[in-house]
Amino acid sequence: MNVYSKLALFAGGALFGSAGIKLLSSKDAKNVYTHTTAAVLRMKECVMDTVSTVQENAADILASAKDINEQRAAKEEAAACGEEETAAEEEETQEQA
Amino acid sequence: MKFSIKHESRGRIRVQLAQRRMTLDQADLVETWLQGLDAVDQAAVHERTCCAIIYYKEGGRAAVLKALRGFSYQSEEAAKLVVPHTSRATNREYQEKLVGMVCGKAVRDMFFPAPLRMAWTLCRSLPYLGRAVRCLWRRQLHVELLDGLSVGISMARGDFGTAGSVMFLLGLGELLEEWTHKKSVEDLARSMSLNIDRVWVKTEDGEVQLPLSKVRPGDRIAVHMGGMIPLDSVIDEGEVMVNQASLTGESIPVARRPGSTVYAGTVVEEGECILRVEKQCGGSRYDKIVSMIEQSEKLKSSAEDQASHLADKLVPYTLAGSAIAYLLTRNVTRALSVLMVDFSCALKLSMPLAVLSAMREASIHHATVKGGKFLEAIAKADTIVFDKTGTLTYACPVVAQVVTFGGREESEMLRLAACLEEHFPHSMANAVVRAAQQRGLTHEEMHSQVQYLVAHGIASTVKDEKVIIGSYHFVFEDEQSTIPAGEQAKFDALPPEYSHLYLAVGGELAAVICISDPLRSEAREVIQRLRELGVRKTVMLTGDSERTAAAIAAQVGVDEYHAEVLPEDKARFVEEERAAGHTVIMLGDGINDSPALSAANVGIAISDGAAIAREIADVTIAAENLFELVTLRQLSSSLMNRIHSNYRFVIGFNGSLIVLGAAGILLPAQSAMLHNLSTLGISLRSMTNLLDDTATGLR
Repeated sequence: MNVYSKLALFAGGALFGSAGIKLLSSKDAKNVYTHTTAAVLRMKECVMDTVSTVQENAADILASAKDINEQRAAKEEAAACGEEETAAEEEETQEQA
Repeated sequence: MKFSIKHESRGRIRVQLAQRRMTLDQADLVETWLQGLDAVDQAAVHERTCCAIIYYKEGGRAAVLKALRGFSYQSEEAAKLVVPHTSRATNREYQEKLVGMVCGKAVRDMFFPAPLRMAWTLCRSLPYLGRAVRCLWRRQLHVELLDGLSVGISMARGDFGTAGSVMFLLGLGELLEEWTHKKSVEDLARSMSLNIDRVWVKTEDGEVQLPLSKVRPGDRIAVHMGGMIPLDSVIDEGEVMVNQASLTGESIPVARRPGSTVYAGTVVEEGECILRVEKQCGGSRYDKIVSMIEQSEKLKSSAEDQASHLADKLVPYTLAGSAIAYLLTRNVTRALSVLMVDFSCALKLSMPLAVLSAMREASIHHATVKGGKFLEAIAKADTIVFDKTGTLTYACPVVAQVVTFGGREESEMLRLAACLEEHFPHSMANAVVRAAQQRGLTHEEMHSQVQYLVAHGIASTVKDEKVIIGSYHFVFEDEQSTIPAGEQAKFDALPPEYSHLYLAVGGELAAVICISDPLRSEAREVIQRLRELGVRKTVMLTGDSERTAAAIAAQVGVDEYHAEVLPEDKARFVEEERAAGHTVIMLGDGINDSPALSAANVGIAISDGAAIAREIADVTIAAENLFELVTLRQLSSSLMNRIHSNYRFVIGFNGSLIVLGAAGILLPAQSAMLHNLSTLGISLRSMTNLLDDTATGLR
């Protein structure tokens, strides 16, 4: 590291210590921090709302899927019952004949 | 209230309420209101999306929508609704933490530069390393040591990715456990909270019944034996024995004299008193219950304790295994792969979750279980003892007839009986009071001090005459009342199929109130199912007369029955069974069941019964259906099965991971990942429901 870079570092540190700290803790800076924090909180709420929506939609899909399966099962049962009945009737007619 | 339907399927509907934001209180209000509707089975309200998810009963869709249209936050109905403390705030907090953790990890892995990630991982690892060092310092070989070693050695090898993922998964597991524990405690506290809403306030004109919200500090309230003290107060008159189990966890009653303070939620076991109210109705009781539950060890079951000890005992074996792997193969990588797998944290994490989840599921089936060890006892039980009144029978006996003696008038006798009986929480008493109400027989408090003798009857004085009402044993043998001359035949002709309540005025029998106590229709089937599920002996104990007991026992199909049993005998019977090596479940609902309930391995109370039974009991079940008992038994057995299968899975899976790691097939990073993922997986699975809907379709 040559002399100039060391000088530059020293100057930077002095500047920061005097004017820099004042700037970072001034009212304007505080304003910026407040607005940034508010924006971050809004983002957090947005993310949580999205998660909530996704959860609800997933639950909806699950409920509809269960519905579909139940209807199918009911239809199959009805069809199977119908087949059994016709099979029983055929047997009866065969016996009679 | 305006709303739009977002989704529909059979029996389920999701509506979005027309409002931009919903506060937590509003969400709670809507949820409570919805659950109170007749057509609604279950309802949940999400405040973030302002959606309500309603499961309605068959054909109730139109009714639900109509009610929703008419709802408003400002309506009188909404203002009168009592909204219980819900865990909405807790759930919200933990959900945010969970999402925060997952999103944070994703962001860090994707966007942070390597040096920053390294620094972050180093910072996060400090607590784990600290705990591991503390373990070593105390010369204890616990799970924290393995976790710390796992993280520390990964970082020492420069493998910050593995260290980060191990910590993430461990942190996730801990968060889940904390959330479930907190939620379980809150649910339990909520169901144990104050359930009474009307109290007897003593004014100049006598005792008047008022709703709890109208009682002001300085009012004097009367609490009789078996009743719950509703508010923090000071005793004005009377000496009582107070059971403070709900506050301090002690089941031994303490004596309280005039001038001493008693607290809301405790129960008067013996004696009666007049209290001067100090603090008005508030939420103080709820917080007290929460702190009591957290301090008591009852939530833990012995299986959890065993799992915890086993987990700690296995730590030295894992360390030894790792050392052996190194010695045999001279390969550090293989030794590390073994070290990354610790059985222990899976056991420590998943067992409490399984137990707490079972307790939560029990509450879905309207049963409140006050601790994990009671579920264990229910699964192991081979003897069940039933009380008759209110348990095997509906707690709504009805007055069938009033037979008077000595030429007295029926309505006068009924009025007198009701006047005495209305102070006591016994189902027979309620029947008499209701019958009097139905006949339009009102009365003023014309009696003086009312004395209640447990399982015997009530004694008091009306217009200078001693009036007693109670069982045969009490009225005739204890108090030596006589039957008026010439009416012996009438007495002998009393119908035998009813229970009899004898009323004597001035030492002479005045009337006999015949009460019919119908058996629950499902009682016989329930006993049959319990026998199928492995309960070897079913016993019925009752204070009723021999012939009624015999008839009921034959009808319901119990293995054994005992009639004319006094409360102390009930407790003695239970203790004898326990001494003989059986695990006993006792089911009861009245004041006279409380000694037996504490003596049994598991005491189950019907939620409609006496306050003291509910306080002392370990489990309370809803009054509608005895099948809850069968469901409880199935739940407990499933829980024990799950605990055993958890053991087998954890030991088997992690054992094979160790073998594969030692054989060099798995790298440390992979074995760490697989182990932690399996731990998380088994924890999540332990939180799912034990019984599916089909198993409980016995309604």
